Amino acid sequence: MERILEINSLYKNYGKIKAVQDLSLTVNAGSVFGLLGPNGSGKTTTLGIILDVVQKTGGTYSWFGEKPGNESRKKIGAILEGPSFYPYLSAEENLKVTAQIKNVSYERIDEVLKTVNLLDRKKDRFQSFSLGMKQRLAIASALLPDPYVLVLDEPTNGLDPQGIADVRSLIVKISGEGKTIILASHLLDEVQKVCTDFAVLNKGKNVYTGSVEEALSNKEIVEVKAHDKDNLIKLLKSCSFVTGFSENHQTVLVHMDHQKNAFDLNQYFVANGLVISHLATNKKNLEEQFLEILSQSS
Amino acid sequence: MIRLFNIEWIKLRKYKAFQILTALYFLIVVVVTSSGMFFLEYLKSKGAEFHGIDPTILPIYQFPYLWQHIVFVAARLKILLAFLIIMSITNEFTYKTMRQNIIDGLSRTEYVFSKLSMIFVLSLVNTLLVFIIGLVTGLIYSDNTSIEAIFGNIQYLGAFFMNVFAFLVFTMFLSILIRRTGVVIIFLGMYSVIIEPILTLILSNAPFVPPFYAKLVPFFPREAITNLIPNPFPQYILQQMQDHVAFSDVTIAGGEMLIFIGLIFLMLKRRQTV
Repeated sequence: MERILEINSLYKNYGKIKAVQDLSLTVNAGSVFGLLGPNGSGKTTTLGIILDVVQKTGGTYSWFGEKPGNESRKKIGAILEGPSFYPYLSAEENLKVTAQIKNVSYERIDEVLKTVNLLDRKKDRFQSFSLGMKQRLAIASALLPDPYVLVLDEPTNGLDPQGIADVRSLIVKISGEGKTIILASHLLDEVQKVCTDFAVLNKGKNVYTGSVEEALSNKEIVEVKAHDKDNLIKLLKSCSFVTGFSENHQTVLVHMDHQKNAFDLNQYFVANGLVISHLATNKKNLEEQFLEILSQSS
Repeated sequence: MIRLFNIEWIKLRKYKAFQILTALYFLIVVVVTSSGMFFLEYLKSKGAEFHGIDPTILPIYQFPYLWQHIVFVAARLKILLAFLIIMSITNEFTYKTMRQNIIDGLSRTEYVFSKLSMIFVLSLVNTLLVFIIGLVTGLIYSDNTSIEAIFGNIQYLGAFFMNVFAFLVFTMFLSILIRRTGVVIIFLGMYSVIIEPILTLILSNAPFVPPFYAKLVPFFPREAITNLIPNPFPQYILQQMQDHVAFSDVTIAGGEMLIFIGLIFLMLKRRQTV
């Protein structure tokens, strides 16, 4: 797979504060890559460095396998920390500035405004826009050069539910057109809904990288109830493929090896003479996965 | 370069504050520089006189002296253009648009040249305007309209261009250094009216300062810029004045202009975040 972005051992210190430490990651073409992490984990700093507005302390990165420079940034559509436009200019005039910078024909302006559903507001000033519209205009601006890759930093921050839904469906639509998207967010639900791959940052370090599907599918949790709870616990403790369990009121949540599932567990209970009253498979969501990764890393 | 100017032009042309300030500035320049005779008539009607001379016979619009008079007066008004430059730069920090420009693929160097190209064009338009006003008023009032007389002191237009350009570069430097609109305006005002005048006064006159320091005075930015166009009016109260554009003044102002441009680049390259 073609590499869009490669970061090698990136460092950034703000005085004594280590904002990014030894961060490495790779983003492949066509993926929707989520950059996750709690506030202050170094997401925006990392994006700032790869977009050349924050100076790195050490390490390297490359876009499209090339040495980064102004030309590579022209092929990227990026928004960092919210939409930044001239408030006194109309949507159209603002996009003309971007078009001039990126050497893009003005004909693209109507096309991208249509994509984000703002064509009828193109003559209106940016300052008259709602936050959702501003965010959509930022995405329009990012789409202007028909970029290989979009970099979006917290694109749904501060939006109302309708705005969030609009932006998300836009992201899904854009990625459906084969574009690579790098999405920084602290909203796990968002990443779970739109991303194919993700990395988790904590205190400036990359503590986990993997595909969303893998992260979710590997972690089956089985909910079990039995009248004879003591026996259930005893059996779980002696079972070879159970890696752990936790009690939640009457229910016991069982974690197992990757290859095993509810079927194997039930078979084990039957073989040992335990009758259970409830058996259900839960897919672990990204949030639990994320919290687990964070607690392991710190 | 045209692309870089275009970027700046799109940013400004639909900006109300830009439209109002430039219109106001050019209007004031036209009114102030072309109304000299009316002003002298007014002085006369109030009974003013210069050592017994009727003020209306002062040769303010006589070629070739006209150029020094007109550019000296016009150069007093450029503070309005400075506001424009301050706003056009500090706005970009406030709205984070400079950072977005860079993210979009503009280099820091291109950004600086984009701003400088606007400063260049504003200074050029300003100079052309003053040239036209000078030509028109001179043709109306001057007794001598020979080509030699008309273009006799034309070097003052060059000095005027440099005066405006260098001042706006200095303003740009302060704007990028300080980044906050209000603070830049206050600092520029304080610096030009209080800090530098007092400092240079102390250096050149105070008894406790060794005489060597007086030699530094022409190198202060405001002093260097102002010295490009010597004040022509002391001659009318029979005082000595410099009646030409001095090469040394041009060199100092030009050199400092380049230093400020260099510092602008240095600041933008060195800054941890933009």
